[in-house]
Formats: sequence, C-alpha cells, structure tokens
Amino acid sequence: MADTKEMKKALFGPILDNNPIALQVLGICSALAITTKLETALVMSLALTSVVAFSNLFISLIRNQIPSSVRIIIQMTIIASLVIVVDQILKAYSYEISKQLSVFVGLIITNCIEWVVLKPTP
Amino acid sequence: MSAKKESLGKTIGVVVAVCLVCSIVVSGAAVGLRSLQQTNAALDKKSNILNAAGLYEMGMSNNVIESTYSERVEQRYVNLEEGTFVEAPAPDYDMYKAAKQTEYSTKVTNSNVGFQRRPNVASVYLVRDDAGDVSRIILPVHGSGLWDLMYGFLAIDADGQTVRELIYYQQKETPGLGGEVQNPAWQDKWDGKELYENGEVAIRVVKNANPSNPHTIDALSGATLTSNGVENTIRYWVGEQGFGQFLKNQAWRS
Repeated sequence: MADTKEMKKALFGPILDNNPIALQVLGICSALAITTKLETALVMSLALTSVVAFSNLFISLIRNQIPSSVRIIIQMTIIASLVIVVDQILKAYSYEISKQLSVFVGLIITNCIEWVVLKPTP
Repeated sequence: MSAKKESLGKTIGVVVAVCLVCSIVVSGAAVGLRSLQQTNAALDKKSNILNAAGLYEMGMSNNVIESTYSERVEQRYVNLEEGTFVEAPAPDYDMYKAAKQTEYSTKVTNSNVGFQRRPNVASVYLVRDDAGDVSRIILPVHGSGLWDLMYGFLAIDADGQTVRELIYYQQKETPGLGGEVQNPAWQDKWDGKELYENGEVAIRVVKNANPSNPHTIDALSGATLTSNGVENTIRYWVGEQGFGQFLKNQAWRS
C-alpha cells in the first residue's frame, strides 16, 4: 500500500502541501496574467504540462550522458526548444488564444529556470 | 565512470549533439507551421479590417470573415503625393516593407510620428454597401506610442471627413494604461469626430475634451505619451504627407 501513498503524495503534494504559486511563490506573474479567463488558463496549463512532461522525458533519456558541468545549460536548451515548439503550434492552431497568452508562453522557460535552479536534480 | 563522463571531448560532443537535435526540432516546427501561421495572420488582419468597417460581429467563423471581406472590402493602392489610385507597384506589395526601401519611400519631415520614412504608395481599403457604393474608407495608420510603433486602421465615412472607427491591432503599450487604446469604450469616442476644419487638420486628443466638440477626443488618463502618439499618428496620416491629398481628391467617388 506504500505505492498508493507515494502516488497520492506525488499527485496532491504539488497542489496542497507544496503549491508552487501559493506556497513557493514562483511563477506569480504568469499565473496572475493568464488566469483571468478559463480558456487561456486551460490552454496555458496544457502547454505547461506538455513542456514539463516532454522535457522530463528527454532529459531522463539522456541524463546519464549529460556532463555535470553543463547540466543546467543542456536542460535549459531542451526546455527552451520545447517552449518554442509549443508557441509555434499555438500560433498555428489557435491564433486568438496565442495572442492573449502573448509573452507568457515564452515565460514558461523562466519558471522552469526557477524550478531547475531551486531544485537541482542529482 | 565519472572521469569518462567529465572529459572535455565528451562534454563538447554532448553539447553539440543536443544543440543540433534541438535546432532541427525548432526549425522544423517553425518551417512546417509557417503557412498555417501566415493564414492566421492574414485572417486576423481581415477581421480587424472588418471591425474597422463596422461589419465584424463576435464569433464570426473564418469562412464568414473571408466571404464578407471579399464581398464588401476592396484593397486599392494610393499614391500619397498625388492622392490618386495607382496599380500595385509590385505583386504582394507591402507598404510597411516598402517604407524601408529608399526608392519606394520618402523622408518624413516636420512630424514626431515616430518613423523616418513613409511609403510613396499606401494601401487603402474601400468598404462598399449593398448597393455597391463606397460607404467607408479604411486607412492603415501607424506611429509611435510610448514603447513601440502602434499599428491600426482608421475608418472614415465616404465624405472624407467623419471618423467612424480607430482600431489598433498591434501595439505594445502598457496594459491598463496605454493599452486602453484598444478599449471599445475609448474607440467609441472617435465615432462621428471630424478630421478637418476649413481644410486644415483639426483633430486633437486633449485632456477633458468637450464631447460636443467634433474635433477633440478625450485623452487616455495615465497615458499621456500614448495619447500624444495617437494624436501625432492621426494628424500625420490625414495630413499633407499622409492621406490628406487623397481625402481631398475623394478619388473613390469617380
């Protein structure tokens, strides 16, 4: 049953005990600017989730190859590329929303820097 | 293991490989989606023109925008100095690109509109009513605000004098202050204002404007520099160096 407990912690921890916006006070600017409308908030959370998920995937794939001296730069490069791709896709498929999100899609990278620098992966 | 991982050759190899893969992915996305993005940008421009034409309604589908635009709006080119219609100087002519080339543009004088050269030939959009007569003329205008150039459309009645709409579609003003140039409540203040008095450009953006004065528009509070920018933009573009001669000629009547 330890597994269920672990999963619960992974699932609800970031929302309740360790909320990045309310408790860690990170990414406030984007969060406030984006959540004025349901539509933009949903698209932004989708964009953020996919960037975090895919960057996690790719960095995990090559983590044993990454030299520790350039670890953060490589992670940044991968995250930045994913952010650009997401931005391009938004501009192509939902232009209206991408106009409302404006710079804040690009700011995903800033928040990732905060997370990476504050929580270095071993 | 760790000694091998840290070697200089390995580090450079990994960095180059990651950069290469990332750049291929990014440029692939940019090139692959470009045509869709251009369609979107063109559609956005058309919906802004329809907005200035007073034909836009919330929630219009892309097809409706396209068909309304092609039915009611006609793009023409105007030689600014002579104020007459001309053929497009080149296929896919873009007045903003032309302004950067010396053979297609003229230096701006006596104006703090915020750019150095204006194109010799500008686009205008003629809006026709159901009977086929020109009901509005839409002039593309741009000029500096506080932070950057602001691009918009000024819609004028067929009398060449009465303003109907001023729609900014691209600006980087401070949201909530200068960004209010896009606020419909402020845009509405332009409706019915008159550009000229006795043949001179008379339109002004001033503090505490009297709503019954046909030549003044109330400035945006907290955004003096943006309001000044709007005034300079409009006064430049309806003035002698801009569309002044065209509006005097009323070339759309013939």
